[in-house]
Amino acid sequence: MKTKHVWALVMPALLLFVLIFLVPFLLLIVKSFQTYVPGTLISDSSFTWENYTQLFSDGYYFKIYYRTIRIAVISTLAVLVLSYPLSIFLSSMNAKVRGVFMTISILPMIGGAMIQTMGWFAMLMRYGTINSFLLGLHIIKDPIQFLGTELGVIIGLVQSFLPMMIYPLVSSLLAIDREIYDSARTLGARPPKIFFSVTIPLSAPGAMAGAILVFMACLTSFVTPSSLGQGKIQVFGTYAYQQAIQVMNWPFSSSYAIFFILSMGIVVLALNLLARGLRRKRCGSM
Amino acid sequence: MRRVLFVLVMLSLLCFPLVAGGTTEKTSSADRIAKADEGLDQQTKDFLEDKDFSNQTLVVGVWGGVIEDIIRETIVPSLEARGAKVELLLGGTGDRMAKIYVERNNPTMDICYLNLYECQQAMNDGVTEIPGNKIPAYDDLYPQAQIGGYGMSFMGLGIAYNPDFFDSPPEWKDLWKPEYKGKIGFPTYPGSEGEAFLAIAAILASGDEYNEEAGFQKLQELLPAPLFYTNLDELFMMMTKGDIVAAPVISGYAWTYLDKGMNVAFSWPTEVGTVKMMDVLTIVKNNKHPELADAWTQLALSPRTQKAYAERIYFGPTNSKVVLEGEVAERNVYGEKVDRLIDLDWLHIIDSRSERTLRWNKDVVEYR
Repeated sequence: MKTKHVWALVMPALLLFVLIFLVPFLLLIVKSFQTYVPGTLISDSSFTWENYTQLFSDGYYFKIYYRTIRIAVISTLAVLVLSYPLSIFLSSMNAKVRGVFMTISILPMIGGAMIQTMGWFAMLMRYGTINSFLLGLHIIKDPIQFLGTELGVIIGLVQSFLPMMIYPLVSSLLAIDREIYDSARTLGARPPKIFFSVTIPLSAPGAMAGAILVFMACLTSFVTPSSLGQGKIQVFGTYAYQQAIQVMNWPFSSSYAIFFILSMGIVVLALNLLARGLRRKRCGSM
Repeated sequence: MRRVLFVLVMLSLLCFPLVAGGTTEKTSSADRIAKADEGLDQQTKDFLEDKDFSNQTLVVGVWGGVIEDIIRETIVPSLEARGAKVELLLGGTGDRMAKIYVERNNPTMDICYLNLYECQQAMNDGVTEIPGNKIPAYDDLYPQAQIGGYGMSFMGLGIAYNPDFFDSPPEWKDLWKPEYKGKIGFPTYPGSEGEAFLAIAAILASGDEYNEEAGFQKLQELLPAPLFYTNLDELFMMMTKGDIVAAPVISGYAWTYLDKGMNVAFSWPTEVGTVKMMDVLTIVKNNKHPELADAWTQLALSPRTQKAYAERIYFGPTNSKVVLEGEVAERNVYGEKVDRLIDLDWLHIIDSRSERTLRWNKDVVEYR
């Protein structure tokens, strides 16, 4: 096929991308160099670097940055650990039953982040389902504070993004040739050894793809940290919201968003390269 | 022959509802207006007389929930009966502010409900109209409600508290009693409640609402905060259980929770005072449906709508013609309570909001 035709294939997506992402993004860049004038919301359009220098002049922004990444890393690892056994279980089923279970696993996503978070809110409250249950069984004496803590936010994120990991992981587990397991067993490998030397390396690209999706979703999450964090856990999403929608300092919030998107873009690019490396290694070893 | 008869019968059956429909529609238009206007005051009836809003759609940005229900029952029917369509854009104030600013040269929203603190800024920026007596009900508004737009309802920031911990309704200074340290619920910042709480702390500490340094230091004495409330269910649940003894809350919200059977009470502080809160109806400048927007505004300020706000969510009337009695009068900012409210310098608060937010984030939220 000629290159000209190939371009025609991407046109619809490209058009949409330019219209709903690129154009607003460029406007955001323009805004980020304008000056916020206290007392009015009409920003001064003269050029300034000040919004960017402010980002580096105060350690507070670094703190939010660090916390956002920390929460995303912990949540992604937790998702990874939880979804491996689940995915192995799913991949061992026959195709029809697996279809049903996969659908069930993705079902909570239909409700969207808001509904799920409301559910968690009710469960994690000081006198919510979980605490009442534990108090009722006399396992704890005082209610555990989940809401307004990083733990609460992480619980919410892990649950909502689990399906993003399960799907790529299950398909990469299914792609592993069953005979490799048989060979490993024949050679005397016990299940843990098989898991660490066969399953993990061969499914790593799928896990990596899932991890990137989950990590990105955690970094940019807003509903979960703002609701379960109760205004105490400032992360990128909640801080951008505070600056743009509550303080209405649009120039500064633009520069904040641009800086965050660019720096996160670099991190994700690095992860993608790592994932490619893993795939190469896998191909090379076989 | 039978076939012809059949066709004739069918035709007449078909025509009957058309004819009947035609006649009922004519009478129903006046009927619908009469029905929709039931209980409306004469001033509003006169203002709306002979108005026809056919083929016009009014876009109104407003909060959802019970406010939406009230609006749909008290304002929308009278306009729909006159041919108008109404589209409600439900959501928070921040989204609406962004929309009217972005679209300020070509607005799609006609009516925009804002809070007291941002409405003056929007008006000064030329995004919303300066209020005036082209709306007859404007002259009936208390002077305190003629600022930054058409004041829709009064509320007061007072103290919601658990009565088991207080012998008498607390004053602001009582929140600083050592035994309550770590048990005072905090509002979030920026926002009316958080900004007013900071001002109260500043006044208590230094007698000067502009002294934010003193205010922040005073607030820190209350920390750690058990909760920055974004959700009143949780605040009042924790208050009922005694994990929080008191918190600055807007009067109307507190009373609706009292109705839900929570063990909470509300105090209108008199020392320093109860801080004036107000939701404000603004008409977007250069909007496409000026006549319809004016009609909406008149209906919103009319005693019928204002009374519904007061009775159902304890949002006190800004129209001085509204009469409330008994418990409803007690729970609303009404009568002499209107004059006792203290007003803050919201324009100053807005000017310093960006810096204060950073400070609040660092010194209050991140306090460990």
